[in-house]
Amino acid sequence: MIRKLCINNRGLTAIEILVCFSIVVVIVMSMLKVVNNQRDKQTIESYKNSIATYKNSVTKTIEEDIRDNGGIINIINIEDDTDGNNSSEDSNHIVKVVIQFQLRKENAKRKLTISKRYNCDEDYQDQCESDNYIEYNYLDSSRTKDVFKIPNIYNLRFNLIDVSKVGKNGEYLKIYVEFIHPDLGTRYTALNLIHPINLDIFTS
Amino acid sequence: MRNLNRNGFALVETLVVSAFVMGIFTLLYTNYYPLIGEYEKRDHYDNIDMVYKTDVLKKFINKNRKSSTSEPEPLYYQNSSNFCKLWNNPDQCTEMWKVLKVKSILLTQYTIKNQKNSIKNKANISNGLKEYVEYLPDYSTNKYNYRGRIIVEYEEKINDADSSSYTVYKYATLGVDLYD
Repeated sequence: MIRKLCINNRGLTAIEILVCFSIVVVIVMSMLKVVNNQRDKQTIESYKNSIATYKNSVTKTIEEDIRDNGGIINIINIEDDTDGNNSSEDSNHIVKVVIQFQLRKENAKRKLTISKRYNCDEDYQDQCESDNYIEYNYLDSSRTKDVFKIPNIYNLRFNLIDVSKVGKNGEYLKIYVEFIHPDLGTRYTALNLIHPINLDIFTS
Repeated sequence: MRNLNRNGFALVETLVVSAFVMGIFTLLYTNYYPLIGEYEKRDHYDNIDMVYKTDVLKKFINKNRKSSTSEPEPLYYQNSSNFCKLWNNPDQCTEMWKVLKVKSILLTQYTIKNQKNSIKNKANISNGLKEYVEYLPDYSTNKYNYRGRIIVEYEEKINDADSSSYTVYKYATLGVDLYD
């Protein structure tokens, strides 16, 4: 019986071991590339998730407040000091767009501030996070309602900010805030709202 | 007896095993790869901003519903003129269609289980919208007793950082009171 088990006792030759090693090396090298790609994808997916969470919380806060207070009935003021360009030579250049509007219920007034820092290079990473934010406040009270600082992702900043009245007679308020990131481009937004300024337009 | 088999693996054995392993990898790849596409597609389904845009449409419908209609087959509108005929205040409807960047609208019953097939077979409905409808649940429970459903396809032009531009289609749905 013991003799039967010793069918082939030659062991591996050097050449067989070398061939096996070379095959394993080739497989590992090809897998390494795939694994690295997957790791990059995972990082990008985590960026996308952070951005989506940010967008959801900003949008939900603003939309629910507008909805709970009967909708917007008037735009008080829009201040926009962006010059339309998305780059600036001044490394500390910060621009703000401020919109003040009135809600139907108890004439509640709100102020939405969008702050954008142009330069988010390595040297300004900390400032980038604190200078790119959306702040939603009560206009008639010193209380701060909510401040949404952008997700802590290297090189992420606001890009295009468009706050304007749209429609034939400016019946709708558009608030569009776009992100820019070297890996994600400009396809992700922080806010993309279109709201009728007065719901009565639907019945007139 | 001792030297029963000293030949190692035959070429044909190696080939069979290799083919088997390749088959398994191919099977895994073909099943895994479409999942990535599905996942990326669902990036455009029921985004929060699209749902709130659909809520604007819903508010318009609630305020401008004409007298009752029976629950029909799914109705598909690719332009504002046909859709806006259904409601009071058609001018505002046309403006809203434009401002919200609506590409097409599908009006269905609230529970879409029985209408999925007829939507699938309509030739003029875009494939993207058909896939979205297929992805949607049946909505068999109706907490707010809605009689209808609005399914909207939005068109968004993206200007990328490298100054190229492309169009993406996004989808959202809400229950509405379409019928009495």
